[in-house]
Amino acid sequence: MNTGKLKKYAKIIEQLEALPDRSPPPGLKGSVMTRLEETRLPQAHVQGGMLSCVRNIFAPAGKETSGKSVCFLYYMMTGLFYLIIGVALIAGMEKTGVGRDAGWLSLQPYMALGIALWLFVLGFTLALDGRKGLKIVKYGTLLYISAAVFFSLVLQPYLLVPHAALFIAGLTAAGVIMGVSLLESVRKMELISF
Amino acid sequence: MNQKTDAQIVAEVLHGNRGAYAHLVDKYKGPVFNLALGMTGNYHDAEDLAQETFIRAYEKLNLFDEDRKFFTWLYTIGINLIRNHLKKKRAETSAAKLFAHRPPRPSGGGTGGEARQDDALGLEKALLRLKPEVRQAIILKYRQGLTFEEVAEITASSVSAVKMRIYRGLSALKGMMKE
Repeated sequence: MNTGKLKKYAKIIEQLEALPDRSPPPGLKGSVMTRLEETRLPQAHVQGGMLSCVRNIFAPAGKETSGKSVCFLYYMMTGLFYLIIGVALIAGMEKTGVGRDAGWLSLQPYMALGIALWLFVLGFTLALDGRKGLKIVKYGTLLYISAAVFFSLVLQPYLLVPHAALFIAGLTAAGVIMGVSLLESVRKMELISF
Repeated sequence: MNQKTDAQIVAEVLHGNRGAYAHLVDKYKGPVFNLALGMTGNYHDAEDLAQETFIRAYEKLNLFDEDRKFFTWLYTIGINLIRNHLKKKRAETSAAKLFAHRPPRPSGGGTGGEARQDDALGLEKALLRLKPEVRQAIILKYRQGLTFEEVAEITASSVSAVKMRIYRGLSALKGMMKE
């Protein structure tokens, strides 16, 4: 938008700028400072890196030093989970030959690797571009949940084992729970950090 | 008197001087309170939100990035709190209640002054009829005097999105003021 377009609103802008400021309540500063007496003093130094992330994970609730680093680690851990599944499936298929020619089933390991890569990307997006990356990460996580559910459901016809439906239900639930937990950690990070 | 920068005060607080935080509260209590008042239209809610903004900022002071301006960081915290508050209170907010608890304005002296006060009140009420994301952009830009870039940073939006919201907001305000 060209700022020149704003010229036709010059009068309304002038009125907005002329609106009088209200004085804050006289006791505001005192109330804040009194409440600070009961508030934990923030720590002076926040160390980054993996060590800090791990420390944050095991810190008591509310004592985390950085929401962003915790969130980053969650994404990395979930990504690692899918990476291990993908690698294990590829290795297993190579060795046993099971599922090699099973169409969609043979693609599953690569789907897992794709999800792992996607989660790593989201984690790094948060770490590198915290606030601005939030929207991307939220939608990216929703995409991950959809993919996890979709891949679980299309797997069902290929699973010719007893209680396959139960396995599929568990797999779907695991994907959804992990995705929702990731979204929740992002929401908390938003509240903590910004 | 040697004026300390916001970053220096933050460093002092982080090194144990809790009292230094009073300087930051003093400096920004007006803008933060007026931001909350403009967004909510309710004096008591604005007071609570301003207080909560400073407390939340204090609790997270160790996360403050020195490369950022303190006030944009503080406003970001304030805007997030205000947004959450508005979501919770959306059902309760009605034009009839707006500015119900405001202290009386200073007298304008004469009919012209009263007309200006009416215009101002009308504009404030019209502002409250805007969508929150549009209202916050207008308030930050024209009531708080921030740049488009600063508004974009605080609201986590692109500069072009901020400009578009402001344009829409001004257009809506103009329409409402004609009613």
